[in-house]
Amino acid sequence: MEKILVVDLTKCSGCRTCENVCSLKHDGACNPALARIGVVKWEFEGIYLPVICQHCEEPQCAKACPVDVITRHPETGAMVRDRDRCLGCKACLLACPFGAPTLDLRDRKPISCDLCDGDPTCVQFCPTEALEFIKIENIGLHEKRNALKKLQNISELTGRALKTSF
Amino acid sequence: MNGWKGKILRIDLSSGKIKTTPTSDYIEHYLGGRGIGARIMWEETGADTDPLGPENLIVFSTGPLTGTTVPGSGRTDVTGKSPLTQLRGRTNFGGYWAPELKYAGYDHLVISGRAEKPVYIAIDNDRVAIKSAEGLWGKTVYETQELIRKELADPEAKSVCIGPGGENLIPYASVVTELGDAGGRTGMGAICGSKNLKAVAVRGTTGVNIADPEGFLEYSKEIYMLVRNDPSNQKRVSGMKSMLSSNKTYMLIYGNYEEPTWQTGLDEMQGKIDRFVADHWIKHVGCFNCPRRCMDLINAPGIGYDVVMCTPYKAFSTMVWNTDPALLWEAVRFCNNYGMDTLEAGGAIAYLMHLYHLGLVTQADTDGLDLNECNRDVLMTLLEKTVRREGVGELLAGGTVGMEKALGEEAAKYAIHTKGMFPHGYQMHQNPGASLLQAVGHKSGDPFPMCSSGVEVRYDLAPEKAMNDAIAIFGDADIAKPDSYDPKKVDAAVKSEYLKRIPDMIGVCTYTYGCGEGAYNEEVACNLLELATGKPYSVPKLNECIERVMNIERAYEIREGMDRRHDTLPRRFFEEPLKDGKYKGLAIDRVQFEGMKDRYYDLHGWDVKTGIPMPAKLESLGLNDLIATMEKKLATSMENMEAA
Repeated sequence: MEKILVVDLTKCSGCRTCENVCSLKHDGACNPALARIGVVKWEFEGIYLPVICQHCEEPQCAKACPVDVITRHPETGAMVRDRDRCLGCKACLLACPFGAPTLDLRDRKPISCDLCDGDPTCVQFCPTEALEFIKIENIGLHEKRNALKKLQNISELTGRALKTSF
Repeated sequence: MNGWKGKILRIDLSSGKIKTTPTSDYIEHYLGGRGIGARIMWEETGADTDPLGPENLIVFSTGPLTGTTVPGSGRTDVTGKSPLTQLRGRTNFGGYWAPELKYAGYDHLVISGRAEKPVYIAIDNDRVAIKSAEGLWGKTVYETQELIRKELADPEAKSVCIGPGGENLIPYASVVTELGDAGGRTGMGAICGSKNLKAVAVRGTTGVNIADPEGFLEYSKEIYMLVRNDPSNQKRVSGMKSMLSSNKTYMLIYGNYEEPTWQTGLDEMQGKIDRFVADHWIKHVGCFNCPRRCMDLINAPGIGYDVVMCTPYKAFSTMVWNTDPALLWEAVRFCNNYGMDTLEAGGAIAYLMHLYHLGLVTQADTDGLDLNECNRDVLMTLLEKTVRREGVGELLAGGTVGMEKALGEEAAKYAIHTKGMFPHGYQMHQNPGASLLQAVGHKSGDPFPMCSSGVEVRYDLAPEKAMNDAIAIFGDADIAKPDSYDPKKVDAAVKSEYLKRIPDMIGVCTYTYGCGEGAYNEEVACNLLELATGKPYSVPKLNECIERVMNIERAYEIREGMDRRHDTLPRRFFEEPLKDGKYKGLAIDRVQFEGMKDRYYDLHGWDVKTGIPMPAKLESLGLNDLIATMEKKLATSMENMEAA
C-alpha cells in the first residue's frame, strides 16, 4: 500500500514547521536551510507554497545522474540517494522540474525528501493539514472533496448576492 | 553548544567596532532571552543614560529554545531605555527574524553608539557589516524590507526595521518585521532612529544544535500537538470578527476610558466587521514554527495587505469611536508601515478626542479638524501629522504623558497612563488581580497582566471554566471571582509574573505558552531545556533564575527613581465609578488596592513601605552588586515619602 505526500497550497500559513522538523529529524539539528521541504513565500501577497520532491514516476533526476545514485525505495516508493557515491555534480538539481533538491551546505551535495521511511515528519506536524500523506487509491476522491469544499464558498457568496440583489 | 549559540554580537555604531562576547557569561544566572537582556541593561546603562543618546543600548534577545521545533519559537525580545517612560523599555515581536539570528550564530544583538549617517546592519552568518542606509531613510517598513532583499540579493534575508516614526524619534515608534509583526511598546523604534539605525537584516544557515535530537523531536511534537489540537485553535473565527467579544467580559473601552458601554456603536460595528471579514479576510497566519497562527491576513482593496492581531483592533475602533472596519484597517496598516505603536498612537488620539468632547481643546487646536466624529479624514490626517510631527501631530507625538504636560492642569485630570504609557487597553475595575499587575508591572502593564487574572477576566464569559482553571493553576477557585480583593489574588499575581517570564527567557511565545493555561508549564519548560541544551533544569532552579530577573528588572526602575508611589493606576480608575453595565458604580478601592500592594511586596521580599528590593533578598539571589544602590534608594525614598 503506497501513500503520496499531497500539498494543498491554499492551506499553508507559511510557518516553516515542516522545514524545521525535517532538518531535526534527518540531521539532528534545527536548521531549515538543510530541510528537504522548502516553503516559498510571497509574504506581501500572503502566498506560501511548500515544495517537495514529487517522487515522479519518470524521475528526471535519476535520468540525469551520471553515476545512478538515485533509486526508488521498494516499500515507500520514494526516490532515495546513495550519497557516498554522489559526485555533487548537481545535474539532478538542474533536471528537476520542481527544483526539489536542496544542497546540503556541509558537503555541498544535493539532498531530497525520502518520505522519512514511510511516516513523513512534516505531515505529522503541519498545523493546517496543508501536507497530507494519502493512500494512492484515495487521491482522486481526496482532491474532489477539497474542490467541493472550495465550491461551497462560491455557493455562499452567490447566495448572499442573490439575497441582496433581489 | 546546544540550545544557545554561545555568542552575543556587539556592535558599536559610533566606532564601527564589531565583536562577540560569550553568552555563557550570563546563562547560569539569567538563562536567556529577556533575562539576559535585563542584566545587560543593568550593567551597561544607568540613571544618566539619555534614551535618545549614543550611550543607550538597543538589545535584541533570543532564548535557548528560539528557532527550535517547539511551538512559538520565533520571537524576539527587545529592550533599551525608553524615550517614552524614561524607565527600561521592553517589547517583543514575532515573525521569522529571531530564528534567523540564532541560525546566523548569535543569541543576542547589542547595539550601542550612534552612526554619523543612516546605516543598516547586515548579518550573514559570521559576516557582519554596517552598510549605508541613505537610500532607505524615509522609506516605509514594507519598502525597506523589499529594498534590502534586493540590495543583498537575498530573498531569504529577514529584516527588522523602523519607519518614518522611528526616524522622527516619535517616543512610541515601533520596530517591525515582515507584514505587521511589530515590537510596538515603549518606543524601541525611536532608539534605533536616534542611532541612525534603519534596519537589521539577518541570514543564517548554521542551525540550532540539540543535545538529544530524537528525544527533543518527540517531546516537542507532544507539546506542538497540545497547542495545535487545543479547541481554541481549531476552526476559530478571525481575530477581527471576535474583536468585540471582550465586551462580554465588560473589558472593552470606549474613547479615552470615557464610557463603559456603547451599544449603538457595537450594534453598528459587528455587522460591518462580519461583512469586511467575509470579503477581505484571507487566512490565519502566524510566526515561525507556530501551530496557533493567531494573526489575521487581510487584503483590503485600495489599502493593501497586512497582518494583525489583538490590541491594534481596539486602538483604532472603540477607543477612537470608529465603527468602520476599513478605516480601522487603514489606520493599523499605516502604523505598521510607518512604524508607530498602535496603542499609544490610538491612546493619544483618544485623549485628544476626549478633551475635545469636554471643550478643553477646540478646532483651533486641532488644525481645524472636528473631532466629534471619527471618519477617515479625521483619523488618517491625525496619524499622518503625528508621524511627521506636523501641526497638532507634534502634540500627539508626545503620547498621553507628553500631552498631559503640554496642555495644563485641567486637561491633565483626564489623562490615562501608568508609568508613562497608555495602559493595556482594557477596562479592568472588576479585576483587581489584573489591575494590580497593571500597576506594578515593570513597565505599564506587562502585556497579559491577565496572566494570573486570565482566569479573572474570563469569568464572566465562562464562570465554571474560569474557576476550574483557577484551581488547576493556582489551587483556588476564588481567584477567578471578579470584584474581589481576595489576598490570594496577590499570590496568583506573583505566580503569574513567574509564568510570564518563562517563555520570555527560554525564547518562545507567551501566547502559545498559554498564559499558564495549558500546554506549557514549568515542568515542560525544564524538560525542553534539558533535552535541547543537555543541561539539567529543575523547577526550583528555573524559578531562582526568574526571581533574579524580576529583581534586576525592579532594581532598574528603582535606580531610575521609581518606588511604591509609582506602582499605581490613573486617578480616574479610583475616582470615577463605572457609569453603566454589569459593574455599574464600581471603581478601584484605593485602600484595598494598597493592601494588595503590601502583600505583593512582602511576597517578593521587598520593603513594604517603598517597594524596593531588600539586601537580604538580593544577597540570597547573588545580586550583591545591586545592594549598595538599592540601600541608597531605600533611604531616599523613605525621606521623600516622609517629607510628602
